[in-house]
Amino acid sequence: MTIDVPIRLSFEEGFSPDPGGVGILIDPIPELWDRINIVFGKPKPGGSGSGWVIVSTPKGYNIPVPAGWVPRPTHNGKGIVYQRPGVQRDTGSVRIMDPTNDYPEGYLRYYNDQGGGQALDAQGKPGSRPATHISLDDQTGVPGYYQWLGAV
Amino acid sequence: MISVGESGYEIELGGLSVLYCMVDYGFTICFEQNVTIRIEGPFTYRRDEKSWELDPEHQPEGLGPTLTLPRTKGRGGTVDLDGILRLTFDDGTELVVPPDEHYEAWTLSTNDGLLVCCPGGQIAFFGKPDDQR
Repeated sequence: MTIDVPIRLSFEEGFSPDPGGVGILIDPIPELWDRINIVFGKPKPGGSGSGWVIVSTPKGYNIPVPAGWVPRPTHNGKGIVYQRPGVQRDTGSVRIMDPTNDYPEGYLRYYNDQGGGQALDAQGKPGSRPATHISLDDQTGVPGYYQWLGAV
Repeated sequence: MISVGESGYEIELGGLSVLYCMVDYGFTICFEQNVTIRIEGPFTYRRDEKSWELDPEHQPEGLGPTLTLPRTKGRGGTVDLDGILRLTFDDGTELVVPPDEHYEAWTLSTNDGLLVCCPGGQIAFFGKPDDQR
């Protein structure tokens, strides 16, 4: 089902209008982590990518991840990982985790393609654990994540 | 390669050679067959009746004793219910990684799936992709 409702990608709760937005396709995958996902039909500029999937967390955060990547929830409901098909180790993956004491809104970790996958910080650089556990209510806008999304 | 038991997880490395190790803000051991162990917090390393307390995040210069790992083969390991990872190698080397209260302490990636030691020591197990579809 295609809906022409432009939205803005954000870690913030809910969606907001964006004149530059694109049509969306709602793609429920109820067996996966009991989340409803929304698939964009926007390809990468000049490329063949198929856009993003929006993963909605239990607390209402909407996280874009690359469409076509393979989702795998935990067997014990602690999170979900999306990974580029066919790759191994942590390479080319993003993992969205449920809340913890230090991250009451949940946190995200995403990985580059180097050395089996290095965890990246909000600026898109490898970093320490505090820097690469990105809270879902991060106020920086996580520019590195969106650059990473645009490059994968 | 990963099996679940009443007391945690059993890891069978079956003589897989260590291909290389990587140091960045963590310490990564890459085996054959796409098996990878990434350690991000302090851990204990034992070899030849010696023991070292290592911390790749804060003291990467102390990781020297691990440079012999790429000449070994993995034997196996366990993950207990508190999130402690124990690994052994064919030359007798042992590696023990405790959980961390605040951050993920380690991850183990195999063709069977991904184990993550979450903050506080709980284990998240992501099965292989074919398990989910």
